[in-house]
Amino acid sequence: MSDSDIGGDLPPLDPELAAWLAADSAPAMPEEVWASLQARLAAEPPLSGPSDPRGLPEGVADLSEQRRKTRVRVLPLLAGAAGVALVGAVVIPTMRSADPVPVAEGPAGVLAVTSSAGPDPEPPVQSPPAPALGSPAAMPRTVLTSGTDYTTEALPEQVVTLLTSTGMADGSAVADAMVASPAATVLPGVGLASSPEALADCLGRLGLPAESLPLVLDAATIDGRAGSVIVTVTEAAAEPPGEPLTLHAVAVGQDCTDDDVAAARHWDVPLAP
Amino acid sequence: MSEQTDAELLAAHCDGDPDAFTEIVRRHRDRLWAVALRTTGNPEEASDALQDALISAYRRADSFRGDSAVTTWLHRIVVNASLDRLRRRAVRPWVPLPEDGAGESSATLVDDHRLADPRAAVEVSETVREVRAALDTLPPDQRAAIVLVDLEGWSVEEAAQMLDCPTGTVKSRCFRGRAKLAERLAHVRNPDGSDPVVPPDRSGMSPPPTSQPPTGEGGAP
Repeated sequence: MSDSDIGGDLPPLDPELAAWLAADSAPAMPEEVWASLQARLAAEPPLSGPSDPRGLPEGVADLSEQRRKTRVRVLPLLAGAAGVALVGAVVIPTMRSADPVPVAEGPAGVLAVTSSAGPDPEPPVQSPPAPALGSPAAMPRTVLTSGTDYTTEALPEQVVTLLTSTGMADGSAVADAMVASPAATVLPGVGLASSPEALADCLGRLGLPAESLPLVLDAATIDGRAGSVIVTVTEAAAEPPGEPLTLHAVAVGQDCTDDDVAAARHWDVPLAP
Repeated sequence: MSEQTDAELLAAHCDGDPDAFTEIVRRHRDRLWAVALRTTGNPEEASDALQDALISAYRRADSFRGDSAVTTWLHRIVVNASLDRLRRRAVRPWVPLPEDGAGESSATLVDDHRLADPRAAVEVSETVREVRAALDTLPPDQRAAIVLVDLEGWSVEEAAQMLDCPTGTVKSRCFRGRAKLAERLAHVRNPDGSDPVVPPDRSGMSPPPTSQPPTGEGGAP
């Protein structure tokens, strides 16, 4: 069910319902939670100004400056999938031709969209509402069509580039992505990017753990054939925070047929904390 | 530091002040906690969501542009993290451990001050338990709207900023959520199934919100 966008004033709350809700007084933060939170904040390094590199792995270029230069356009989108109407905006950064082109990012507020380290001269982008909740699957945090032709030989290196360009080059950024909302759009007719159900079904048939969380889906070509590169993470792999993190990547044919599943390539992608 | 506004503190944080962000969180910690707890319905999930959200906000504070109040921005991040937890729970249902009687981590605990009158405390506790159970049955988006507007007292406009949706959508979610709450709490209003008895001091109050929604609302919840 979609939420209609209504006008007029919200009627006053029914007094009895108001009384019931009022009976549930606002809880104060437990001291142990506050202590834990303070400890975690204290463990964070202070920000060092507007350009604070986030510790990219050795040999990985920091593209934050390049990403700051990204022009952001907002296009209206009407996407429907599985009976769910998603009305919102698609963020289409126009990047240099050699870089992947994110098609949609999750609606985790401004943070998810403006993942560069420094201030962005562009106005904030209002993300679309999240997809229907309670659905059995969700789209990855970032869905894109990079135009990359992945090759069997270069897949691991190409995926590192993909993660760097989507702001997930280290464990810290991945942890942030894990608490962000999934992309609120699908790409009709583009294989596994066409619906969260198709993606979830394929991941299951590929033998990935049920708790795998898709982070990035790049609908591209693999050795010249239409396919998807999907990078996933599990909560277990992300624990404890601050430790090296291993993602799992898989390259599979666009339609995830039985033959595609049999020919899929799997590999792990270790990241710095 | 305490005289500084939230915006000034956030700017100080971005300039490297190691204590500024914690001061902001200290100011708003109870409201942020309440939103996380009421949205997730579970203290452990609320703690995780809140901490993850605030760490994320700490790291990305320089993306804040001042288009809203700092507290609105923080609430937005916490609500998003809480809703994300709910989505993950929808995929992999959370199974609560059986209560051992102590219930220290239970979300249904009643504040201590209410225990001064045991009978009243029991009544309040039961009502609170019913309300929370009913709240837990709402779709997360509706629950978040109800939590922000009806429980935490934010305006529809502020809630819309936090939920990143139009005000009309917030109103729709509140309306639908209220209707479901009223329906699911009907047994509290009328526990024996007989015709509801309206106490004299409530004779003028309106019925549960089962009437039509504001302009533009259509369809059943």
